[in-house]
Amino acid sequence: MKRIVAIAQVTWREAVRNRILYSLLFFVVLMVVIAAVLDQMTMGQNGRVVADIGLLLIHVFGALITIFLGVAVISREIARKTLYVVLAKPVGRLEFLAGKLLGLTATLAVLMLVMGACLFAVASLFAVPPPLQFAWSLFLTWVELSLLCAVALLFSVSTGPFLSGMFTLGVLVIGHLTPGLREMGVRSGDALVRGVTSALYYLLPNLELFNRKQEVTYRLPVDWGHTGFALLYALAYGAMLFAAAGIIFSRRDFR
Amino acid sequence: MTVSASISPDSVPPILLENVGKSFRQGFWMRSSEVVKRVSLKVSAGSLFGYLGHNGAGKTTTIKMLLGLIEPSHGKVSVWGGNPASVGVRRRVGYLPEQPYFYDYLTAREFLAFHAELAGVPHGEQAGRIAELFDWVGLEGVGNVTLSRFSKGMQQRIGLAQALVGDPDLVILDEPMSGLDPVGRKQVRDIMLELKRRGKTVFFSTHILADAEAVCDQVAILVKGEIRCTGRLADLLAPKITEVEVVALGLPDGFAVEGVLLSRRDDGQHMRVSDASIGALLQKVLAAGGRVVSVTPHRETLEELFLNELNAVERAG
Ligand SMILES: Nc1ncnc2c1ncn2[C@@H]1O[C@H](COP(=O)(O)OP(=O)(O)OP(=O)(O)O)[C@@H](O)[C@H]1O
Ligand SMILES: [Mg+2]
Repeated sequence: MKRIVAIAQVTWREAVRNRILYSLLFFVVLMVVIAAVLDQMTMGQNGRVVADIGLLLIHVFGALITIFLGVAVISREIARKTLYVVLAKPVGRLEFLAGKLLGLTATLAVLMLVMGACLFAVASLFAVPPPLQFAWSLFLTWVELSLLCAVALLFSVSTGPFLSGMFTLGVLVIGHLTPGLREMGVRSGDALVRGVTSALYYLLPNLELFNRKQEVTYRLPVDWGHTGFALLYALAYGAMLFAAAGIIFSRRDFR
Repeated sequence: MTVSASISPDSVPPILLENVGKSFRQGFWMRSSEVVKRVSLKVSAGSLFGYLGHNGAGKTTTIKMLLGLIEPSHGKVSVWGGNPASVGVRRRVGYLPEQPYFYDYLTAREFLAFHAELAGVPHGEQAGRIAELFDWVGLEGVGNVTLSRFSKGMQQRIGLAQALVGDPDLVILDEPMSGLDPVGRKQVRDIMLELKRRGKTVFFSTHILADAEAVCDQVAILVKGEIRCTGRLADLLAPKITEVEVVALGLPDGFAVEGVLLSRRDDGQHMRVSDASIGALLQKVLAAGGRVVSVTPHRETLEELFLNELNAVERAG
């Protein structure tokens, strides 16, 4: 466990010192500008839309960072051969992967916290968003991004960084579309279309589960039953991804 | 090979390779080429072992198998009697890779602290160990410099420190002297000798034979993936006095002896003969009125041994 934490810590340092977090600053500025413009355009809305759009931006921005970091974290180690000395130490390959995943999810958590706090502050200038729903929506976005990290890890232990990035992006996009696609497939009545869309639905992660932005916008009560299900789903799916990545990584030759 | 019934932990060899081979699939057709072939090798505890070979001989490949970074295609690799793929075995091993690439966003101290943690050094001892290592590898005063600003030689040194941070009983170094200036090479040689003095086993690869000759007790010579000879350096080289060089003054201009190479230099007439015909040559020199200045027997150098083995393989292939 100590070793996993040490690897996670180094992963965090890499993310921070790679100046990824400077793009955060850019994001915050962007958010303020957008919010100000929106406020001018939607005067009748009580500024509710600011929180809504902001959460969407955090989601998209967070997903891009996740793909970028998640793919780089293993690919770069392999390409630059920095992992040789680490794996030659008394460190198991699974420990290495676990440390990387832990470091990434921790980095994302900090990112979400900072971005969330900024958004909350900016949005409050127009209309204070419901705090519980706001935090809950952010938390589930973080869970989704953590799951996406596991996807990126699985791809990047099996193939190069470019393909990994593309595949992970694909999973992100399709993962948000599958519930809709499945419904379409069922309604189409065509057996083949229905088969393919349901297969996609069950095979790829259903990322729409983690999208609870409407609760913030419409100030709906938090659905705890749904949250529990989403968390269990993420844990089970994440464990499967991690196991698959672990099997591939453990068998790999590092020449 | 006979194995005695009561093996004490100390008699377990740090490195034992039995018929180890590795093939890589490469190229568009994924043709398999055997890079290491039937290598058998035993390194005994406490020795300073040189693993010699030309570029592309398979040294790095062998070393990566010793660390569980790549799996042998066949044969058995044991390190301290166990499989290096298991975490427990690697607790007693330190490794310096051939081109040291490290996390360059860390400072030297952070980097060593990270590796001390991985190696299981107790927290209380880490700071002291790290300070000691900085001193030992010649990196005093750069603890807070990020590795991206390190020169090649400094990278090599921090790599060495990283390998030693867990106080391993077996240290495996892949070309530890590459990229170092003469002072650095000497320092690395001294570190290796000091490790041996402390009872550690050092296994290092090189193609610089002078380095090996200066420190090794034992060597193995690898040519195109096969071990050509292995043993104590003294046994491999000592018995063969190949040539004797005689320097004499006052010889007449026309002086010549059949089968002897002559070259006139400022300090006298140089002559090289085989060990067997030295007596005859000396008689002839004295008979011609020459004065013998020196008689120097030439032992076979590691370089000659190495080149002979290389040529033997070339001729056979
Ligand atoms: N990743 C790889 N894929 C395919 N072949 C490889 C790979 N790595 C090394 N080889 C081949 O294996 C052979 C041995 O390589 P190795 O790196 O073990 O040599 P070496 O003795 O360490 O050489 P050097 O002194 O140049 O470091 C070479 O012919 C090389 O082409
Ligand atoms: Mg090499």
